[in-house]
Amino acid sequence: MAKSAPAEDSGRLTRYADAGSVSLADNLVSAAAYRKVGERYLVTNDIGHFAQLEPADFKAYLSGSLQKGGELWKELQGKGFVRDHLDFDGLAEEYRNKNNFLFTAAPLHIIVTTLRCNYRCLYCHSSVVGLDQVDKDMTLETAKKTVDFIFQSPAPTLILEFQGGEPLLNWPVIKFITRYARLKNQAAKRNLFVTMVSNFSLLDEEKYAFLVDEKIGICTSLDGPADLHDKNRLFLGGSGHAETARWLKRFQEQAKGVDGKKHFNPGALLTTTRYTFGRSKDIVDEYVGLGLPGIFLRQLSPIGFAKRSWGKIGYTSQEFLAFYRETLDYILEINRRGTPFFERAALTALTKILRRRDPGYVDLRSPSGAALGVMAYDYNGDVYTGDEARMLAQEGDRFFRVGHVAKNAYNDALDNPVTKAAAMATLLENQPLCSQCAYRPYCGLDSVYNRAAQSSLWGHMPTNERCKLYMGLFDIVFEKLQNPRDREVFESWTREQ
Amino acid sequence: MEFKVSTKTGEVSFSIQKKLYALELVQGAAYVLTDRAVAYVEEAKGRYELTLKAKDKADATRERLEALAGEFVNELLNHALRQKLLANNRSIMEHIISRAMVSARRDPADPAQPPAAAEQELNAEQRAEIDKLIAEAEAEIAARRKATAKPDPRGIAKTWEERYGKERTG
Repeated sequence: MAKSAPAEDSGRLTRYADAGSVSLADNLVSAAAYRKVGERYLVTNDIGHFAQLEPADFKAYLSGSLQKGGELWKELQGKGFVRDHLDFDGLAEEYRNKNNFLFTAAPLHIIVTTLRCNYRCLYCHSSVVGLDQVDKDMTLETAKKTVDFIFQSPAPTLILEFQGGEPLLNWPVIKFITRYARLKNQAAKRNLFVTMVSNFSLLDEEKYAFLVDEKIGICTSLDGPADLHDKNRLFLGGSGHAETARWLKRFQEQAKGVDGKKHFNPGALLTTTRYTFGRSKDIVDEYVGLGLPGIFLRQLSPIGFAKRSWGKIGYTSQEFLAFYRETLDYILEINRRGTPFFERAALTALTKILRRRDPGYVDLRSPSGAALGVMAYDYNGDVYTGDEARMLAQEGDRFFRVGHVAKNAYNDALDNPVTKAAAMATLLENQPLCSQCAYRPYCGLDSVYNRAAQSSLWGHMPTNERCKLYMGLFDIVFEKLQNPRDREVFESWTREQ
Repeated sequence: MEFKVSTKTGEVSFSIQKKLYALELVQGAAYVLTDRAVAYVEEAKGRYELTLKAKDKADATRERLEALAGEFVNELLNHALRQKLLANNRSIMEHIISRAMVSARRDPADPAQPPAAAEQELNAEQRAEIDKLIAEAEAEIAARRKATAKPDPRGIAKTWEERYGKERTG
């Protein structure tokens, strides 16, 4: 039986009972924030180091009475928590590694080649259109200008990600963009990667061969066993699960190097709806059975069809966290039984927490990755600060549109006041609650979510469901890090990345 | 600390000494409770007069209103401690946002940035290859459109020129 998430703390800063009486040793303490997790006090700093202290040790640390040279003192000193014993060079390098996204331009460029789709997923964030609306396909002219726009970015690594709609519905443009970008890159000399998110339903041998030959990374949605997958993801042509599973297996075989052509391992994402609850074991078993290395338990966003059907498929952050804890417990159990299998949200957090590296996840950064880490290009050439920003525009709110590939230069999108406002609003140091939160070194805000859910770029954290969700998720991760057996599994996940 | 409770209006009032807490700390503690209460702050000689009005009528009991005020005071103490910790580290973080914005821009004068690969930087052979790609894609799109076109026996989806081969006049 899963424990419920700590409802009284999730979404709130926790309090220290002796806060009024402790005399802070200013010259010795360099922790940035604290939080009670279980029976211990978690302290963190801006480098991303953490320590989980017993209450007596926490009090001794704050008041400067820890035994100098003792085991705990040495641990804290090594992590940059002792103010008069800081290794500035080492800490500066760690800070740079952890925040390397601050020192480069957006690598991720999401290209929506069509809004058309042959699925009608209950939670579709993209508000897709019918198959006959070919005017919602990206034209060749726009495709070429989009690639030209992307190559204006100074980023040494460029990732072109095809999304939709179902991108395979505009296959000629997928092929053109891929080949044109490769050709252009002969002069640009970037680390160029091309990926695609597809439901696989329109895949055939010809397309498969092209994807393999061009080394296009593949990701799909898999919501669990057939009954659950097909309930969430309505396919106009019948059951979509079988085709998804068939092509996933095919790409996995290719990843082993069939015909001497080694391909990337395919990825799969799970979107959690109310129907997902209670199916933790079925879902994980399905993923393990298909040979997938891990799962990403994604929460719903109140955008697109999901907003309109929230009453049917939506849930509170506490409900999601209860499901998340239950599923993570099962995943840890199968790891201990000898099957390596990770959960992506936890792994993203753990990469920051245990390795102090940026995992490349633009939704958990300060400032957010809006235009700084990702840009999204709609079928008509409009440029947005990210894919959720584009999805919001599909709903009629074009606030996050920062340019057009034919009318603006890349720098225009960065100079757009919206780009700057989104960065300012999502800098955690600028947020009253976030600036004092112990999870600040690992967390990030999303101004698109804030606008969609709370009608404000800044949002209101005491009532923000996304804040509650991530605070609860970090609580679960840090709670499990206190358990040596769970920590061992977590360490193995981050070593393999 | 003395709490004045009105269960009728769902309010609890109390004073905070100015010499102990700056206004920004009082505002910070109030912000944390904004999901459950509306906070009114008035300045008086040597103190701030606080009134918390519960948003939920179920919280308008003496016990709950006093608990709310107690929670505010505890939050105030923690807020002060957290602010001290934060102030200790603030200087490290000051330049982050400007650094992020500057690093993300294309700077033609920066030799460390990779080339933009403008059209003119491609050679004739590469440009010819691009023209070929476009022609191939155009042909494929036209073929797909034709193959998936709906039957139109009366030609109602066609333009005048497509039906009669010349512009309509008169």
